[in-house]
Amino acid sequence: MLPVIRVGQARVTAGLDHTPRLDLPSHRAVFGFPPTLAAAELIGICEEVDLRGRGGAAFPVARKLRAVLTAAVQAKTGQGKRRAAVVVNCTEGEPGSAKDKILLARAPHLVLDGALVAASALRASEIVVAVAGDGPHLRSLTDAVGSDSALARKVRVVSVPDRFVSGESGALVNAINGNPALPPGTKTRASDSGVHGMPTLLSNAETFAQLAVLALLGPAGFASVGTGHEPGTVLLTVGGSVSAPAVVETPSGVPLGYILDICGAQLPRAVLVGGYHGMWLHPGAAYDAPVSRAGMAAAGGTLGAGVVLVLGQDTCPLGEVTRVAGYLAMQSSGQCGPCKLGLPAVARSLAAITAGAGGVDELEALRRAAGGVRGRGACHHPDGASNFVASALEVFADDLIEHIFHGSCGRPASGILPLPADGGDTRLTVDWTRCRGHGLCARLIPELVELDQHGYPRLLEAPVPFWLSKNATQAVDMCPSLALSLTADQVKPAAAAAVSAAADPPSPLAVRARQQPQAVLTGRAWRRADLDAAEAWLAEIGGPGPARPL
Amino acid sequence: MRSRSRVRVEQLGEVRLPGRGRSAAILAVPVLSLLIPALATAIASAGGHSQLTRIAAGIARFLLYYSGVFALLALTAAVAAGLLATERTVMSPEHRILAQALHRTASLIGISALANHIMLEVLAHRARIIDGFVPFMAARNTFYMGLGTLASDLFIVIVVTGLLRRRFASWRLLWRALHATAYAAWPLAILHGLMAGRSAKPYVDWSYGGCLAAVGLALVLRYVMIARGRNAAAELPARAGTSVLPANIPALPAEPWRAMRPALPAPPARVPVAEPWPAADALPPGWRTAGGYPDR
Repeated sequence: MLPVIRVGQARVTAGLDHTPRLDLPSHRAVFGFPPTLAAAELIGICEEVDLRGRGGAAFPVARKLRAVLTAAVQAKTGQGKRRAAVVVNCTEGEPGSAKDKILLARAPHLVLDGALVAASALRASEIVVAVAGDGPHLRSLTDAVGSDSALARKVRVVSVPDRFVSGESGALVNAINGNPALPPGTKTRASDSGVHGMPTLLSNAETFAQLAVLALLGPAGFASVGTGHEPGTVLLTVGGSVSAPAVVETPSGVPLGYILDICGAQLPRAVLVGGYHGMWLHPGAAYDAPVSRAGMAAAGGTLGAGVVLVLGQDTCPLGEVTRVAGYLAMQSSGQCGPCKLGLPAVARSLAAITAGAGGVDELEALRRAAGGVRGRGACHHPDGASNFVASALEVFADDLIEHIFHGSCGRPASGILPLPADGGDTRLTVDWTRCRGHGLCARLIPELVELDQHGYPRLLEAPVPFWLSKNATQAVDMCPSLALSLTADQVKPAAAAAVSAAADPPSPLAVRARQQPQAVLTGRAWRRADLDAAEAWLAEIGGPGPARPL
Repeated sequence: MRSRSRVRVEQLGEVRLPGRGRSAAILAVPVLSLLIPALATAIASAGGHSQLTRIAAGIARFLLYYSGVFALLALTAAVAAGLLATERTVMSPEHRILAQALHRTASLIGISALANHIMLEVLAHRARIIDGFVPFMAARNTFYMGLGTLASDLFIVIVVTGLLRRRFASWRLLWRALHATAYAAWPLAILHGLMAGRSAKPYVDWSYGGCLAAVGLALVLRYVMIARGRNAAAELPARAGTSVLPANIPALPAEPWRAMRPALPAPPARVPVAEPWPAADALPPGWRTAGGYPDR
């Protein structure tokens, strides 16, 4: 599991300096009991500090609460008793993100407290906590829910398939209602009709943790750190080419460079902010960008769900982008044509350019394919994937030129960007001595196979996704030359090691050492004056301490 | 603290792919083709004069009369569709996929009808069980009955190895040889159909002859094609416009892309190695003031 680092005052990570996991007694010792707030009070304080959803879309929590409340009241007058529901989204399908899993694994009661505060304000009849995959976070959550019988009665724990689009709000509501976890074709807001048709407050785990902190500290206490427009703290997941990947809690407004130095980033080639639906930034822009939505937007990026992935100088950037593009293509749920055919086309063009097999025409095809998927799906997935690729083309323009005109940049793609590697995947392989270019496979699985100018298949370098498994089997069965086969994927140990939650939490001593950033900071990347200014500023925003013991 | 009560984790949201009941439906065809005649014969032979008995006897009689014909027709369709599916000069890949699907469906129906035929012949005491599997053992009409048994055995081998086709990926030629015995089994089945049972009407003889000739011609064409050009794909027209760069560019100038493609984005300025923290005036306005950091 990733270590947790905090910069300045600890908020949602409070107490984690001393213990690997806050169980109920230690949670109460650190945070006390959250107050019971009426709906109007809760909306008021959320509005005062402009609390936003932390799952990536940054939707104002106050507006969401108000919409749920309005829908619940309207439904009540219409058909008698109609109550609201609260859904805590901890699915975190983004491979680079770990903050929600870490929160669940180490401070589960804070997330549950936030959900309880919201549920009692909305008089919600049901709290659903949705997670994806198995691991310490799920065990910690079930332990936390089971540690209190009142909690166990109120909270449903739901596990959904660990896929990129499972966490999309519509897909999650579908799953909780017993349907496949796929984004719905017609947009319905969870606040109007969510769990069992009830008005539903659906937000991400960090949002509920921040909500609990806000309820505990009050708006003034909450806003005692961070910038004026976006007060409070932000959870970041920093990974990639850094010596100390970590989940970092930082006040908003701290320059990203400061965080990157703490995590041991050294002269990055580029920084990816906002995860695989986010944007690449030049290091110059990234290091100065303040950690806030406005700051990231001004630098040309996005804060998203707080994923920061650093790309070092010794890996091939285009190779890395190609790997992720193939992953994103296969994470399409296969519902919308432009996405399921367009994203593989993007990945194939990128792969050709990266391999030195694509010319300027391939670059143009890539731009067309990436632009062509925008706004043409049930969910945000094609748009996000397209943004990711488009910003890579901009930031890695000189690598593109090297690859197109010189075949390669001379560096291997060493798998810096984390991708889930579960080993159970299958891939299509061709016995090239047998293939006679019949072309049946390209008609059966156009998502995975395209024919080259000679009529021979060009395969996508990616595991066969679940929604194509039948078609892939059919293609293997129908290959007239018996050249196509499905083979089990070899496990790649290096990939995704950065964020896989497996090992024990680090010893408190190691955590403390990490939490003293000046010990990590070297004069290399920072001018002394900047360092002093940042330290003084951090001391200042630490402030006189919160009203309640944190 | 350990948990005091176990919390149930609901596993939800699994996506079910369409066509999950397909294998069950496929299995149902041969099973039903064996069950229906067995039941019909059992009910009919139980005696009595009820409506049910008469219907069952009618079904048994009809199937006894026609199931052999159905088997022959379906297997003929299977042989023809299989041959068609390998054709690549006239057939597009889409049509070849359709032909393969037809080939499989016809084989399934054919093998089911064949099982039905054998079972009914045994139940009607026109053949023994051993005659269904071991050729040339029949008491009467030994030769033509034996041809039918031989064809049936071959078809069973072909269908079973066809189902296991993926396992034969490493013994492709063996699979091909086994599968090609269909071209031998099928004429045997036709001879059996014409000579072993009731005497056929002239139009049946003629149509059988026509089928044999058509498939024979197609078969000859197929192997002629294979012999003439093993790699027909190489003759496909190349897709236009695969490269915009002329093949004979001399040595590239220092910055060739800029001259050729002015629309390409300019390469960004690299970050100075010594000072990744640029001067204050390089920052977006408002993010840093003289005293430190703004906006708080």
